[in-house]
Amino acid sequence: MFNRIALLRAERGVSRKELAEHVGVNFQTIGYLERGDYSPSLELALKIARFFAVPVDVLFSLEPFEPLSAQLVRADAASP
Amino acid sequence: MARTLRETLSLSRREVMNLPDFDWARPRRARRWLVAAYILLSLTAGTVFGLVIGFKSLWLLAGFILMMPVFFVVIGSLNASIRGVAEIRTAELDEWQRAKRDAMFRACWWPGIILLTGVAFVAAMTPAPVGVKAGLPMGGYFLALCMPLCALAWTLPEDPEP
Repeated sequence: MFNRIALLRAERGVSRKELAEHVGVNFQTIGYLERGDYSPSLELALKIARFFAVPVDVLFSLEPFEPLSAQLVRADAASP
Repeated sequence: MARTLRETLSLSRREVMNLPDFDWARPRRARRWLVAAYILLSLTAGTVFGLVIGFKSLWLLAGFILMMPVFFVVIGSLNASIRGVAEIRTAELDEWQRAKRDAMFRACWWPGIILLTGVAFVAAMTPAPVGVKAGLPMGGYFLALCMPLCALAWTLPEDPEP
């Protein structure tokens, strides 16, 4: 499973420890999730999505996410 | 800031296992040294116990008893090195820790049984002196006792940055 936890965490300026405290796990678990070493339970995935106030499929995916740079280029090309 | 003994005793097991005082034991390299120390200690304890039985020496028995606090320190350090994953209550572990603990206890179940049965069988069946017959199962017992703990300490990845 792929996720954007590190990206959203960096965007919001949240440390692993802060996120871990909010969702009730150890900060190591957040690190292993970000590395892709561990797939979260549905409950944990929903808690993390709720913390960032995004739908769960924005945060987790079964396929690799498109790189941010590619999304920016595409958005730039689409804009008039 | 240094804690008093009273403050330390008032901490939950989970808090104790996550104290920064044990950060020295948490890198993988340190954890593997602790596992090696435990294995060496177990083999030494088995040998000393065999000698106690073989020679019926009170001095050797005193030496064997004196090894117990060393076991306490090494096992305690091993537990703290993995933040208590192998020993604190399930309710105090998060889902990743529970998954790792359960997987390692499952993986160590049969090797532990085979080790204990194997040393007991060898001790019973070989025409060895009584000291060897007593020392072998004791060494095997110590090794099997902490096999999941040692396997967790050996295999868990490095902690990420907080």
